[in-house]
Amino acid sequence: MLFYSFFKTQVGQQVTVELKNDLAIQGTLESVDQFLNFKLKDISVVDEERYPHMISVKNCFIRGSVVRYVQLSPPTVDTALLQDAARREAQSTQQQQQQSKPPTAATNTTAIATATGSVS
Amino acid sequence: MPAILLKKLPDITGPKFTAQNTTVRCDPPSTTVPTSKGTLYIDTHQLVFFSSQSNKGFAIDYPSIVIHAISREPAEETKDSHHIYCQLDCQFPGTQQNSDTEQDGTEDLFAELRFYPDDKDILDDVFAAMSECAALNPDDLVEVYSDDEDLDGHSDREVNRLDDPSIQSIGEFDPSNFITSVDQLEQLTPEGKAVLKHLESVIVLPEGQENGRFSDAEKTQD
Repeated sequence: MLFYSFFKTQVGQQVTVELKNDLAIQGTLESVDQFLNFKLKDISVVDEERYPHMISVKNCFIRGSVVRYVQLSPPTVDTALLQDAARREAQSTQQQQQQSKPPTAATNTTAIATATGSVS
Repeated sequence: MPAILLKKLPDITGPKFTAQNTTVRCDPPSTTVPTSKGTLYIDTHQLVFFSSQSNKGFAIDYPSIVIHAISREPAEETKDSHHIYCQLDCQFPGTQQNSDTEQDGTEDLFAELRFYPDDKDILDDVFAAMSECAALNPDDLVEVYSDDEDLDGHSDREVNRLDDPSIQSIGEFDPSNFITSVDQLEQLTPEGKAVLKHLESVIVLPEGQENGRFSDAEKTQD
């Protein structure tokens, strides 16, 4: 969800979306959804010779799963903030995983204790 | 299957939008694409085009549609060419293999579909409906959560151990079998009595310490 939130801050900015099929589209980011589907407006295809039919396309919807890179304009990105957010997300994911482990271990011990009690 | 050819109109469960009198074109050209006008159904599960005139059509899953867009020539006189543009991540069935593209070496498996509805005013509605349906049909999240799967897989194994029937059979807990008072000692088996006798001979509790044996520990804690 971090990158969804991040790309929302980029709405209205000039971006270049590079697809896995090597097509690169430059345009203004109109919207982004949780699957990182991008809507761009006022687009232009970077390699127009290869995709001549897209010259008359002005806005488009790009499926998130086909995106390879998104090029951003550097002044619009607070890299320090993004790094910090990424670090915190990684930390909270780790904590969630650790929290889910001790109860499992505790239940195991109880089961073993019960077993020992009954045998003796 | 990314694109399925249809010989009859399938059940359309919940169309978000329907575009009548639409012409379709495919690039690279395919013989299976209907040449006569048909109807474009933007269904919640797939994109369906069917021409009842030539009795054929096709259905495409949304994950196969890489890009969809509105193509508009700026000049008003070319309004007839306005259309919905779709790029697919696969080749359309029945595509004629062009010798040029094979020699080219760049055998990109992709196809471009263009839908030209007679009514150009609906282009925005078609685009909006397609965007909505694309979001309703995300890709499988296999790649995205591959990191978590490893960690989860580890904890899952621990959980599974609890369900292990061998532990359950050892740990059957029946308090009614426990001996809690002196008069129940008669219930003990001969082996049990022998074990008890042995235990009583080895464990000697110092007098007066039974109740006070943890008093030190409590003091140190304070």
